[in-house]
Amino acid sequence: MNDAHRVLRHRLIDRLFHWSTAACFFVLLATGVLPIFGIKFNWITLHWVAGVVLAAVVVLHTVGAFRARHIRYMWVSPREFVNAFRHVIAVISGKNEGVARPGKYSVAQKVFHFAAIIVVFTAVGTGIVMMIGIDSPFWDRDPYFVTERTKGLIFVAHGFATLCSVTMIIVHIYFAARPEKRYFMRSMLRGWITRREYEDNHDTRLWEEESQ
Amino acid sequence: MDVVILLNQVLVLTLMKFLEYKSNAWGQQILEGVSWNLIWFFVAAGLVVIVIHVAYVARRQKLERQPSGGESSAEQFDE
Repeated sequence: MNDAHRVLRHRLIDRLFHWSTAACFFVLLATGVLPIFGIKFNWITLHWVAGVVLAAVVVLHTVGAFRARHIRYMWVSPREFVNAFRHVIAVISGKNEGVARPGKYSVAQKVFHFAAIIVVFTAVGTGIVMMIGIDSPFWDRDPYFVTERTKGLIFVAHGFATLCSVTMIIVHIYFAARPEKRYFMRSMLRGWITRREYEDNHDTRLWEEESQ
Repeated sequence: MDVVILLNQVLVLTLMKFLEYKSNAWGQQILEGVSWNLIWFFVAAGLVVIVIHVAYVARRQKLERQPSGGESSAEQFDE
């Protein structure tokens, strides 16, 4: 298939961001949760290193998204949200109503992305404060940087972000594996979707093609 | 009877300890973090989302297979 039949969906830098984030998530979950379930190993260094890598990758992604003005693809307007909700209600109540094709991302993908922003920022923000309590190349540990009460609240927020990420990973893998969504998976691996997938599934006015 | 069992389960979940406390050097109870027993609740939540979506897609596909006819097709489906 030549380039004329392909539409770029994810640039190489975005694919690298996605897969490095995924790798960080799995390392962070494994090193954070396995010791709690009795699998003992020297997890703390691996955990904070993966956390620092995740923080750096997220900062680069955020800066890149603002610079390339890709925020508009991820922004979900109230009207878009209400229309999607109405469509779901119509299907549940047995009405066969057509739905407008989305731009680059569906409302569900956008909502998932917003949830991921909240979870990642909570985990990274609280993780940085927790890191002040351990020795690292950045500073000497200060276990009294925050009060015991504040430390407890920070651990609760970090823990809830971890637990939410478990649900989100399960849901994310399920949607990636669904047959009708496999072209998304391909695009996250190879970058492109076919022109037919582009025209059949997306509103081409809302998602303008980018050069490869 | 099923409703009673369901209510009981909801009550158990509601009362489930979701925060952990420990004693500090002065014997005071301090917050330690979330209870990791909750992880199974979050795994279950992910599985519930999957089941709901599978049911939703099945219903949507059933609707799409029916001839379009606005209200009448919806009524046929409801029957």
